[in-house]
Amino acid sequence: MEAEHKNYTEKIEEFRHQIEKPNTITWIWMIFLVLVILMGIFALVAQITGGHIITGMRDNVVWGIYIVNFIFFMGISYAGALISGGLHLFRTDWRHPVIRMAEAITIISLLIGPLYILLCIGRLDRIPYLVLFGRIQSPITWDVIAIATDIVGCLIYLYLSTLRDIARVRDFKNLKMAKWRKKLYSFLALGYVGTPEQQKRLNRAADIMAAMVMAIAIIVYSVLAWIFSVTLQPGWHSTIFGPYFVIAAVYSGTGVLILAMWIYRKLFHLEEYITRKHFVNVGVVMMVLAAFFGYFTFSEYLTKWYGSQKDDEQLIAILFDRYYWLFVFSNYLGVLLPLIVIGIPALRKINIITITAVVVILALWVNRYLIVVPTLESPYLPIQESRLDWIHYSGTWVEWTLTIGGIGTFCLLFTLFSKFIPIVELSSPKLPKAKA
Amino acid sequence: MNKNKIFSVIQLVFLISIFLFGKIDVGFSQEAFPVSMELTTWKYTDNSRELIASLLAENEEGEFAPEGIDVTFYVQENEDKVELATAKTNNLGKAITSINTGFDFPKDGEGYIYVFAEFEGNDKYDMAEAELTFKDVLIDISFVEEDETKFIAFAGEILGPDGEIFPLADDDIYFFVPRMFSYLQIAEGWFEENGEGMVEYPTKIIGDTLGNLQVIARITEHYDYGNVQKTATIDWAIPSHLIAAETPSRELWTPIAPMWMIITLIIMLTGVWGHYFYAIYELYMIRKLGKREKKTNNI
Amino acid sequence: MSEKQEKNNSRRNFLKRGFIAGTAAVAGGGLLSSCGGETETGDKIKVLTTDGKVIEIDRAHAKPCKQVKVDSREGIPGRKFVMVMDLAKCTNARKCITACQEGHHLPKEHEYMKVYLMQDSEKTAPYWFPKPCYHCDNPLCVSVCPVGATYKRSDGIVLVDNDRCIGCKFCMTGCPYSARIFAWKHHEEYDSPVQYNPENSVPGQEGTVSKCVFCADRLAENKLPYCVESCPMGVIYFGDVDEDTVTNGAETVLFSDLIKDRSGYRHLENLGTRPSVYYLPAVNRQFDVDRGFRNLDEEVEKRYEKTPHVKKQKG
Repeated sequence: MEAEHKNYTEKIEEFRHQIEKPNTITWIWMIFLVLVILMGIFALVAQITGGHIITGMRDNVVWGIYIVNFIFFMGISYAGALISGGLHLFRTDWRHPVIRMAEAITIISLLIGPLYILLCIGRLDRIPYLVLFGRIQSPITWDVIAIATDIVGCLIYLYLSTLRDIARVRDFKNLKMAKWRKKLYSFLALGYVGTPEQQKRLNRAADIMAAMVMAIAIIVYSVLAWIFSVTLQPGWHSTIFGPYFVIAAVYSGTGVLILAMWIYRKLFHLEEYITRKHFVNVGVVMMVLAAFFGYFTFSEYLTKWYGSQKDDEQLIAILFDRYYWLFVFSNYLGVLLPLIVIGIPALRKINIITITAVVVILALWVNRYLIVVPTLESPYLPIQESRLDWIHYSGTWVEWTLTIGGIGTFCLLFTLFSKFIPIVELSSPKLPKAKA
Repeated sequence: MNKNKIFSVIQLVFLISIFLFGKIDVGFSQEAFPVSMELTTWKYTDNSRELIASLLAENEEGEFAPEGIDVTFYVQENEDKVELATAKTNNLGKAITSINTGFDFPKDGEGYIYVFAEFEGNDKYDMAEAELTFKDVLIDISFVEEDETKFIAFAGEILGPDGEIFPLADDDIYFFVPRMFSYLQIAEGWFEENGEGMVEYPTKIIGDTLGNLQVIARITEHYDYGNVQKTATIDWAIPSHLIAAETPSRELWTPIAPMWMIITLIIMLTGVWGHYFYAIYELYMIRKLGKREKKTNNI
Repeated sequence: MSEKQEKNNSRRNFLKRGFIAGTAAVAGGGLLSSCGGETETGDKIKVLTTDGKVIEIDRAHAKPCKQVKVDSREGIPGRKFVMVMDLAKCTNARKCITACQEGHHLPKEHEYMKVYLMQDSEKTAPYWFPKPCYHCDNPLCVSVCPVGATYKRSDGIVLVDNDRCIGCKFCMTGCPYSARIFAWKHHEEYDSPVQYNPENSVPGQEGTVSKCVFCADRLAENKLPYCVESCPMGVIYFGDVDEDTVTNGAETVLFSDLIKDRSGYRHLENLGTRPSVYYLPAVNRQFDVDRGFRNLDEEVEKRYEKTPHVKKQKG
């Protein structure tokens, strides 16, 4: 036990400034994020007082940007779960710098995603009815149960995987932080001191939860996909929606993970810990997923287009008429770029990979938008309307502001999380000191 | 100016003021609404007869049904008009009087009965009157089965003067069944020369849960007979089924979910949350061990 | 039974039910606003509440109120409703739409009944297509509702309980016929003091879903729905399929005969929703389809601008 401790004291030394009292820049950053969130709250109040009419949603396109954001955030959450769970279970060598970031992404986006559903609900005062009067036959009830289960599971898993580092921080003297924080670490460390018995129990629990979190992630995101695929809407009523959504989710998650890695590497000078090798490894995962994603997307649209059933035809006509460039961006660029960048060794540079990751994130957000909105714009009974905003959907300032507010919340929570615990997993039986 | 001229001027002023006041709706000397009246008659299964006077009044906006108007009904007996009854119009503008079974209407030589309805008129409504001539008829329906085919048999009698009876011949008769919102016509018959007839009973009509069906035979708006109706019940109809089930079926759209859904959900939830509780248990054990360790270290 | 006697009987029954229900409603406490409001006479009478209790109330409160169905989730016993639309007669007169809006106090932009100009394919003839909610026998909207706010009754009618609807709009995406509408904002019609009843969906509520209810409150009084009564062409037939009879107010016919003779069908049958509304194809049309453009509001006429028929006419 003592030996384990000693080896990592110098590591904690390196990370102390990350978790100690925030410096000025961090304060400015956090205040900026709070302002962004306040903007979102302003839009929310406007929506509550003015009614949903101030959004762009109307009787045909009843689900718009809010639901797209919901799917997107839940997606990256499950990606985090699958990646961190997978890395943990397979005891991958290079996991330590990235695994905690993945876990953070998981839990934070899991808390933000459902907020977007609440924004879409017409009568917020009746939310308890989901539990009081819940109907088991409804996919939304499945989703409520699933998300609740997932949040609890991810919290437990996060706790299990950060427990060691919490104990380290607790034991580290002379950390410049508030007394209440020190007490908090003490409490949360649960008296973990690294005895063999404790380690055994911790490892066992962590392994089981890692497996659970992976399984749950797949099931829960499939439930989300089934919300769409059990309806009869052309474009949604697809048998492969479950796996399609899961793949797309993990794909978008790798993009967010790479972006987070790049940001933290820059901010905290973690060049020693997060190296090019990590970027390439996660990048390879991203590339493989890009291939799978492209395969699923191609399969979807090929079958629709070839069979040319009238409703599918109508949908494809809208996709290639109104949404042509978005479709190309999302399903061509979004698929080919990672394949090229990671496929060609010369292009495997950190910055290029990160740019690709950003493109991937955007492409997948657009992909979700193209799944939700065009289908609702081409229902079975033709839309015969005179009001333009009832024929075509376009998000209003309320929806965009709340989207940005959500991103701001995500960043703020991530910042707070990294202030709480070192963002790189420090403790485990072996921590290789990597070369840049 | 002499007295006559002054008198004329005063009369003129008086008339003009009446005219003006009349226009300002003080109450007296208001124009009365013109009223039209129609008189019809219905004969029912129990051989009672109704006389219905339908009134329609007209104002600037159009026609409307005046309520609460007294209408007096008379029947012609030889040379006299004998008062039968009075009735007030209801909210549909109909004054209905019911004459009991067995009342012997005075008939003329050919068997016609003359009835009148009169409204004297009052301040609001002009007077109106109507008259109607009809012959008293009896119809009867019954259900017969011949050679495995079902028929509705019907017969009609005209009650002539002095108690003579003539067959009701060469006329249409229609058969209805009462449905939820209206009456459904199920058959159409013809009175033969002997005053009788038969029409095939439509076997696909649905009745109540026991197969009972109420059949209403009607002669409507006949120039000689007015309206005549006769009702009878038969149990030839296809029985309708009761919809309410004892136990609600378990479908996707019923209040209770299909069994397999509930079972799957329970299995999955116990599986997942079971693992959670195990992990929490391990954490609890870690804490316990930590406390023990702390104690041993402190010693 | 004479017409008059039948009328008296039903009136008597109605009053009797209305009396008990009315007083029960008063005893229930929540409905005082819709009945009475008189000063107390001090004279007490005994009445029976809907849950079997005998209570005493002031005589002034014992007024027959509009009949309040005790449980709107229970269907009218022994009935199963069906509607038939005769497309050969529809000329887009839109009286069904306005009568429905009046009867349910709907804002002008909410239409429970919509009339489409349909054209199945390039060379087939266009026709006017009135579309209420189909009250399907396999209603996807009911299956997906997470809180059970929408439900199907034993008489086939699918209703929405706006006191329970949370406004998630899943049912709207579940319905392939676009039958439901959402209250995106508050309308002044919603301020009505009338007690809410899912059977006529009056008054509406902001943030909830509503739709055609087959005028379930009128059916309980043996009256036809507003659209059926108001159609000048007699397009809409309505009735109880268990009695095999439908009527459009003027004509009463056997449902099975009508469907057989006129080749009735249901819209998008292959979706498996099993609607309760049948259509009779537009054969031997009474009027040309262009008659449907007469006397239309400018806003309504604009709706059909992009249809193939109108585009072809404009050249």
